[in-house]
Amino acid sequence: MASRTALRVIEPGMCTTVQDLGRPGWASVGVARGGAADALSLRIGNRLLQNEDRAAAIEMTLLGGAFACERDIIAVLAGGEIEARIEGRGSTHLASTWAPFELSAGERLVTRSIRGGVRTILCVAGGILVPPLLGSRSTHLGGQFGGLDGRMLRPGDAIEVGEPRGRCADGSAGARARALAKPMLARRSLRAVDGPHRHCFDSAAVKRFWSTRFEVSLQSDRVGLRLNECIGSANFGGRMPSEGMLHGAVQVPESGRPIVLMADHPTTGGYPVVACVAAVDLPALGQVRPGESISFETVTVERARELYAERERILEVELPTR
Amino acid sequence: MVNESPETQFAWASERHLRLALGEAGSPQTQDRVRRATAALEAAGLPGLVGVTPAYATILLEFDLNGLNAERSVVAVRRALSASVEQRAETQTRIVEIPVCYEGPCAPDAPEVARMHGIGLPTLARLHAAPTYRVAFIGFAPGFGYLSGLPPQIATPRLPSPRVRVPVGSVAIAGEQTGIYATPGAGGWRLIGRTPLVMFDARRTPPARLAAGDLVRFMPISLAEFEAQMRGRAVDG
Repeated sequence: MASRTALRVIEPGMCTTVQDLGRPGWASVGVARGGAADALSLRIGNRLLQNEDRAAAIEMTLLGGAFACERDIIAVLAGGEIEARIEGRGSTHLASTWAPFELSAGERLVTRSIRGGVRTILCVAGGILVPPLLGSRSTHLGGQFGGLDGRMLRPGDAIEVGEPRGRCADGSAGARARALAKPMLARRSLRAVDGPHRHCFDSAAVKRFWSTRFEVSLQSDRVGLRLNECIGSANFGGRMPSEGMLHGAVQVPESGRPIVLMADHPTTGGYPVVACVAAVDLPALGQVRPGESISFETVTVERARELYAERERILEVELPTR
Repeated sequence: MVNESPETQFAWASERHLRLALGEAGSPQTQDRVRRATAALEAAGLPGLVGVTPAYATILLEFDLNGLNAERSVVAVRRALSASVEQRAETQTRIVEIPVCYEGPCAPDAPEVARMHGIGLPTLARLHAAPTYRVAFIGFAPGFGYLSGLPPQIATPRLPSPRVRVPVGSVAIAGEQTGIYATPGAGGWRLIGRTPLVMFDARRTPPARLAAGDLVRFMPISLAEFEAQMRGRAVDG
């Protein structure tokens, strides 16, 4: 299979990594699933290019990067709205988020700040090729493995791309993708279900949790979103024995200021979990900017399952898998 | 329907995660039940089960929401657990020996830990290396094993604020637990030694050197020996 360098990193941006849909099934050796913080955008971007949902792409955070194209490719920017232009030898034109574009050898893709949301995913027809580890090409920054040498991209890095699977979607698919994704990713009232340790909090703390508009701390990353407001702590009478954690779990440490666990969360933890963000709103969670406000909206587990199924149904209608 | 034991509690921790509580966290019997149940659940190949996270007294099961039938999944889990009760024959327990240097730069928190307990550094090392530990589970970070069996006289609370970067291979104490940092990163446990062994490597099968249920013995080595082994590791690549 032909695979040569297609992109060369000129500027990587702020926190730019290779991500796919992650590596499920390794929690018992301490490895969380990880993968794209906004998996919905990754899947939509891949569908626009006729890739498999799980094809690897480049996830950029807050500030995009600049890439020199060394081989003709078709790509799309998905997720947070990003300023992007394609610089050719004589001409420059803009690339809109959600609209697939061609990038020819010798051209540069220059992306700047991410405005609507916090993460933009650069998908390429054929997918980013790095050696899979534990069944995934995702970068595990904490474990320093996966992706490109287990780290963020750096200037000079060569990015290899696989063979495209077919013709890329037409222009109307990009418009459908945008119409579908934007409202889902813009939600800042996140649907959540009661957490496993809800009973360890007094009713005032639980009430505060569901009614507070939280400001997201600047100290937030792929591991967790830290929230600035205090809801009060759990009555545990000592430390809680460590137990399994999950993407979207809202942990409350002694400080009373919740931490929402993200894709690269520790597999186990010792803080009580007051609520868990529903799977349908995890992509929106991955698009919350530090400094933004979020709140939580209570739903039952049954409703959370329905919401997820509804979203999958819409996705399959609007952008079917090939 | 045969339940594994009246003590096992089932609850949905999220719309996609089933949480099993198997008993008291401190008890070795519970840890043993968690290990057997985990093995049974992983072997059962339950439809839609995509993740199993065992800990001291709980197992968190993640299901794929596509096609999830919650009631049917609970029934399938109960069935797999009752099978784990019948299959009592424990597979042979591994004993893993871990060389540890308890000296100088390998043990930045050892002087304070020793002072807190009113003992000398050699006594701290001797007490830590004396028991045979049991790996309760692997969790938190890749390859990090929570070891049970720390002598109570050297149980020590966590650091008031965690270190930003813990050297990989550091052997550490927190409360009545001890463990080995298998990947670099932040950590609040107190560092009293360091092993030159690679504890986690995603390219290896299995990736983690330790597995739940293993017995672990720490073999003290000198700083010179530690450095020699680290050099050897660098040559091996």
